[in-house]
Amino acid sequence: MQAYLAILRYDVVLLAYSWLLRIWIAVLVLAALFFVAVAASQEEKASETLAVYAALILAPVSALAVAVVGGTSISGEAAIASDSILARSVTRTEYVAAKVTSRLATALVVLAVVLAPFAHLIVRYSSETDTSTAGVVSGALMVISVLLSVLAAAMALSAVLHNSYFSALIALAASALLGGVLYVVGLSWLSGWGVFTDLAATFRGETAPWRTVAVVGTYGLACALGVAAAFTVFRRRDL
Amino acid sequence: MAVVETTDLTKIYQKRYIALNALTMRVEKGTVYGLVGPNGAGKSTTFRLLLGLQRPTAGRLSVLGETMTPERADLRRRIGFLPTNPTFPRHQTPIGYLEFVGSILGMPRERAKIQLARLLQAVDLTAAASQRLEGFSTGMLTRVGIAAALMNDPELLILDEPTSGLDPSGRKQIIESIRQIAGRDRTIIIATHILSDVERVCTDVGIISEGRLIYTGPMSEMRRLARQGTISLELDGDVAAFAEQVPTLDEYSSLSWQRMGSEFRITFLGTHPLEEYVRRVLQLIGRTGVELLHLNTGADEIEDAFLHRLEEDRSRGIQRLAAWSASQEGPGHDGEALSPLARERAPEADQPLSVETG
Repeated sequence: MQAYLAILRYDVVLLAYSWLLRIWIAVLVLAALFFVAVAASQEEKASETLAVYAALILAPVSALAVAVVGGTSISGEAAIASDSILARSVTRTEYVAAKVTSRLATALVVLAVVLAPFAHLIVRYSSETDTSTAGVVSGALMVISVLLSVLAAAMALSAVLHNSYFSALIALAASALLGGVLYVVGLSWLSGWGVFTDLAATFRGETAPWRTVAVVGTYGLACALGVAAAFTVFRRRDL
Repeated sequence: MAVVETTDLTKIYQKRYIALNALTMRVEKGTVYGLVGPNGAGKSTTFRLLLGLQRPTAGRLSVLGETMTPERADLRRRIGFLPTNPTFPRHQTPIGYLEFVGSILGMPRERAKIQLARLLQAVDLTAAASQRLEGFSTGMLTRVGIAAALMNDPELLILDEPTSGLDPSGRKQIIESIRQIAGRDRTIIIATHILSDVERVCTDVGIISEGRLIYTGPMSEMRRLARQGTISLELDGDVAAFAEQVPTLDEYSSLSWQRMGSEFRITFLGTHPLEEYVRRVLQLIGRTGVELLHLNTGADEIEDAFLHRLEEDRSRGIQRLAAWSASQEGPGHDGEALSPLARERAPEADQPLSVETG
């Protein structure tokens, strides 16, 4: 347990010092400030402004960021980790558990810290407040679950592939492919693209609760599968 | 008691590359064991298997009397490891990094702080203890790595190329540090391809080539072997005629020689006793009519012994194959297909050359 906590602390500090995290947060915050200004000065509905921000800024920027955060989680420092951490009294399980916890928690905190205040500000300063609290919470949960599934896929790939950025790229491509498959089978509302295009309605509270449950459940399950794959593969892998 | 024992340890990567080829090795408690071999010989792979970072393809492996696996964190707690050119988190200081290592090892904070202070002093880094690691030289980073490897006061210390990339003064400093560590009842395994380093600190030595241990024994025996086949001469007279005839000294031309003016250094790679080679050299001197000014058989260079063993191992490849076939047939099996030579040589040909450590 002590090793798990030590690696968790080490990885959180490592992320805090990374330029990726700083740039990710800066882009989200600056864009959100712009959208708050737009909401205050233009005749825009709160739900539309919030949905455009989530679909055009938050989703692509965060998908890229979480793919890199996940892709660099294990392979990115495999040499350093195996020599300076895993050659000591640490099990593979402790190592992956600490990495998964730190990366998921960091992504969750960044998304929550950006989404919560700026959703409030956009709603507060919009000329027409048409959102419902339940709708905003529901939309945020759907967005976060989609993004965390990309992160988990990247982490699973990171346990297999040596090239971190290749892992990130494949995770993004796999997410896009999954969206395409869902579209073909007539479940476009369940795809990432469908979730983001329907966000305005979701923020207004017009999306049925079962859809929210289905989206969060599906992407939550994908996230769990990705994490389980990362554990299984890394425990068997030669370093 | 054997601290490390491997039997037919084999590692094959992706069915394409044989990194370890039935490595059989035994390291006794309290020794400083030098694992010597050229780049790619299998030294680092051996260490990765000893540390449980990789799983063997075949064979047995025991560390501190127990089988090592990736999940044996408890066993790794008793081992210290210094990787080749160690890398560290750039933003950390030596104190911060050693604290991190202490926490990974499950050490109480207070004990970890006492230990890291002692170690930083021992590796002469007290003055730089609060500086960021990103500005450290290779030698300083290696010393941080040594301190990290010693945090848990390990019973077994594994050092992978500890002097790699260091200048002569840095090398000397690291060698001195290792000598000090070796003073206690601790087993140390050092992998290197710098033979003079081995000669300075090791009590025992193993030569690894193409994933096989081709020699193992005490350092004193290696020194004796170093002297075994080398004859240094200083001549006067028709030295060119002597030089022309040198290749004829051995019927298989299994010798190497150098000429520096009137001085010659002839190394015989065969297995005859030194006296035989001296006799041949003296006969050649008589035949060519040169005057012998000086003769010395104590070249005392460990490189010669190392090259000698490598050369000898290469020449035994077919013999080894025959020995392996013989061992597969075993007593009671039909061994008619084996040549008498193969059967005769089978027992010794499959084993590394070894000398009892007593």
